[in-house]
Amino acid sequence: MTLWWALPALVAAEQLAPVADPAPRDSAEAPSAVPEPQAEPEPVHAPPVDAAFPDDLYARGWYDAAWLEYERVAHTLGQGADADRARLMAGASLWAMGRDADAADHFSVMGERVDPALGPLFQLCEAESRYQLGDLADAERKLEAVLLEPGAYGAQVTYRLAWVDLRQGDPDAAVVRLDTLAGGPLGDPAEGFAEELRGWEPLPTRNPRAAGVLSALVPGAGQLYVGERRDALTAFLINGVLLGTTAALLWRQNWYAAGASGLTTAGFYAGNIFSAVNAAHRRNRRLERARMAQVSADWELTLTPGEGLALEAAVGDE
Amino acid sequence: MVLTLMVGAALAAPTLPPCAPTGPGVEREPMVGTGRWTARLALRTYQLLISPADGRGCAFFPSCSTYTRQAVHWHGPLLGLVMGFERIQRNHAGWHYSPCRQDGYVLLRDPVSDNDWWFRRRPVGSADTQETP
Repeated sequence: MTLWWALPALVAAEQLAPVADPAPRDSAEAPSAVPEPQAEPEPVHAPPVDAAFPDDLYARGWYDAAWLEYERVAHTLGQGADADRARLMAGASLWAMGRDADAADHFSVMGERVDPALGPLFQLCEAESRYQLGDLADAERKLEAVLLEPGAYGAQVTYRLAWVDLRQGDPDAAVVRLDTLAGGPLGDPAEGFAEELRGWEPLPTRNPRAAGVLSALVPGAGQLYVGERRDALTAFLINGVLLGTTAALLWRQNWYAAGASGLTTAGFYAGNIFSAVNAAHRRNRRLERARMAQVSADWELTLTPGEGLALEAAVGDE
Repeated sequence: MVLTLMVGAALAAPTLPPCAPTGPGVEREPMVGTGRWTARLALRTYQLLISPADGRGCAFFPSCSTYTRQAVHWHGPLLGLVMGFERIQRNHAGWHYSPCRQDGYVLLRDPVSDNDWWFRRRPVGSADTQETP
């Protein structure tokens, strides 16, 4: 069996194989006893690292490509300021893509690999990702941990903690936190934000339990209490007709039909109560979200990567 | 009035976002329990035999029968069916639903997660939390 078909590959392998330097057979033939310093071997398949290239991609808004390139830069460089900045910017690219869960994981893992002095910065970034994700409990825990570390992020962390308190439904705690920022880097927006929170009127919410009880007494009454008049009318008519039908069937001693009608009536009656409670909850959430959206447009904190290894804080739609 | 609404909906339909699939992969999930199995069988029978002849009568996305199947999947037959009855009772347009389009219909997005968020905790960031914005 001939191996002629493998000949080109063998020739190529021979050409590509590194040629070993002929080693001196004895020390007398060696040109010098002091070994010459050898250059660092070049990585074989890695293109040269250009730390500015992913910045260009990021500036153009090609965040997915920028993320991959930042990851490559960080992996290739390993350690150092450029590598750490690439790690930070890789997470910022994930933020820009809206992948907050991935960003949180990224900052959590990378926080262990960067320079220990940058630990609080990466913890803050992880907390920010969890806040954007809606994981307020974890975000608060991380922020409290950052607050214990010495660093330059105290104002941002306290401001963000105030937002966490607010989203957890405790505006008074948020005001207390914001008051501690007076005279600091975020003192002016914190003062305005606290002033607005102090002026908050209670929302015209509806009690879900009361809505449920009302609908249990009179179908549709709970929906009317919540403000859903069409739902109230529909529930009242459907339940009234079904109850009347069941009663008529029972009166005529048509037991099977009365049983079927009764089951349907019970389902719609329970659905009517659920509808009132659900409508109250939905109304309350709608009001809460509308108010939060209004406040958020004016006072929400935005953290973006700045020059070097730092975060820039902006408040509102600046 | 009706003509105006129809023309408006036809004009607005191409600009509306498509209705994305909501809820978990109900088809792939095993149904545990006789009650769930029975409820699912009844709803599938309705969807395969009655609904095609009856035509689309639900203004929401997902349709009332799919919504009920998903509710039964998540909350069991009792509460799931109650949620289905509740959906039928409020089967009309409302300003607080976001519209979307599917198969040429303009529908109102109303997934299960918009109606059970106040009593069912979901893991943060799970794919099931597709609330109406």
